[in-house]
Amino acid sequence: MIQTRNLTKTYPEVEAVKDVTLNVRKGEVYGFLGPNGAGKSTTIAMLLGLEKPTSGELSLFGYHLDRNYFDIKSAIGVVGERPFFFDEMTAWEFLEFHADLYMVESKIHRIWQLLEHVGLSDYAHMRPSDYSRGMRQKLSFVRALLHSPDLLILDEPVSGLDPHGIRQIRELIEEQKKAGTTIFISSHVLSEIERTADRIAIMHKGRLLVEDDLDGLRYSVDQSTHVQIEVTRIPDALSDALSAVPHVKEYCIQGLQIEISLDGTADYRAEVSSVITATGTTIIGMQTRKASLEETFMTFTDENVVGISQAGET
Amino acid sequence: MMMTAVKSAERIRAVVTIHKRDMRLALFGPALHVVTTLSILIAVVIIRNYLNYIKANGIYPMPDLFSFPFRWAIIATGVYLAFSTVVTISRERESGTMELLFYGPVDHVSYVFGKYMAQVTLYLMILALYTVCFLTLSWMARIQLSASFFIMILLSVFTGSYLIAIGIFVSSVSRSVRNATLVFLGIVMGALLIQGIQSWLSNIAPESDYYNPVLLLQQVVSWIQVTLTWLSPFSYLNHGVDEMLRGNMKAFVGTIALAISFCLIFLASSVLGLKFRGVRQ
Repeated sequence: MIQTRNLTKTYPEVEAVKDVTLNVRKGEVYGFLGPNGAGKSTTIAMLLGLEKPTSGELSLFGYHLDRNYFDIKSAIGVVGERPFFFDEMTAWEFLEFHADLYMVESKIHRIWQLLEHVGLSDYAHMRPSDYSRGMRQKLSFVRALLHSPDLLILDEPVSGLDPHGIRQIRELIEEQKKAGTTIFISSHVLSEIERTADRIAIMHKGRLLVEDDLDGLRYSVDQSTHVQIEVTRIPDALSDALSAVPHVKEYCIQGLQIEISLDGTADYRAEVSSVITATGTTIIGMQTRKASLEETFMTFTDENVVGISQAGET
Repeated sequence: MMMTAVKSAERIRAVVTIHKRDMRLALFGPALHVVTTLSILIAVVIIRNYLNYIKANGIYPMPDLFSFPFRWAIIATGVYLAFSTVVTISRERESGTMELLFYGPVDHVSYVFGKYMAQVTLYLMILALYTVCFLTLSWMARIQLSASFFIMILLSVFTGSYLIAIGIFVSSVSRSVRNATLVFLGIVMGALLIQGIQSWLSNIAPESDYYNPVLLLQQVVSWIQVTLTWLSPFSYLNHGVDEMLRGNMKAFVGTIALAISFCLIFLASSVLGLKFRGVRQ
């Protein structure tokens, strides 16, 4: 759906994006992460043809943007980081204008349907400048969805929204995902990406650090499985028994809680639990803990910061 | 071939949609109506003064009573439309709505032509209104409109279009509303200033000294003005009317062709300027 190869954008004083190679597949939700200044917005601007790459290639739907400009643009819906509106127009007029631009069939019905869906139909004849931040963001979504795009590009769609607004936007994204729309989403709200994205790319200082699914990302920063076990008592023989299990890398006992790190991602829970119960205690709780996206993200970006600063010192 | 036709159709659709939006916003806003009404009122006052003069003195103050007020009205309207183009395009870039348009099926060519077509259509509508007003005034005053008046109507279409194209060009390469406004006003004021300086210098009688600096200055300003005459959209009205009245059809058509050429050059430069300057905030 989106393919870039060695995409680079250099400004006179800064290299904003360097050799970025992305591959967004049809029908997936692709999370595009990175701290401020990582080059996410510049990459999105290049995807949309708003900025010309200094070098590298990019294609959307298998075509170069310059060759199929209007077809490609007609198949994309975009929600930018900041919702932009024409001050002089009401929400309805604004949507009608975009429906004309995208040649939406039965535009009145489509606009009404979407406004009803996001709960804005009662405010259709107000100007967006009188809307709350959440309402404006929903209106941006309605605009982006008017022409039923095949590809939705979302740049920080929940930025600045309250929890209720975030939930509504998340529901919209999930609906689009179910409908088979390919979604490219850039966000700082990592929990949202963790919930919705099929695959994730992490950018840092203009470079693409990694592109994988969430499990793959976790595995690349931590090749262990963490298991938390709660027992009724801690027998004296427990430490020796755990040390004897070949896959246990390390363990920590705190009160009646045992946290065990196991090699790899295979499921050793049955083996571990039989070793523990053999020492004469009873397991009353067990859960596997995976690294959150936030932890994974921080590991990637921190490692990169360390790497860059060390390189700078030498 | 097929691809080009599809691309053209898509582009025309974008032009029409932008054109429709801009027309609607201008017609529903107060500024255009205020400028049009003021222009007509000032023209009416000038004509009334002429009529009073004729009544008092029994002679015409000038051969063609309607030319000057009509010229004033169309130039004021043209400058206003060009100025409003400068402001709206720069404001669209500053507010991010230009970027919003480019998220969708709008490219640099369709944006520039959409804007241009909207302003030119408005100009033509106002021109038609002025023509009706002047015809009515002429009928009420029982004074026949001259041939030059009708030639001026035709020529003013090109003058207005050219002015609007300059406005689009200035805003396409400017960074902000303030910069674009200052540059546009600078161009208009600069042209007027050169004209003023030349008439002031021509009133100074230099001594018959070959090396007199006034002579040199007069010569330099005269060269600048000759150049400006071929660039300034205002001068095409005078050129065209003069050539037509002299019966020089070839020069008349040449004047129109030159105005169209400059207009196209500025529009093409606007597309390039927009590409160079970018559409993002």
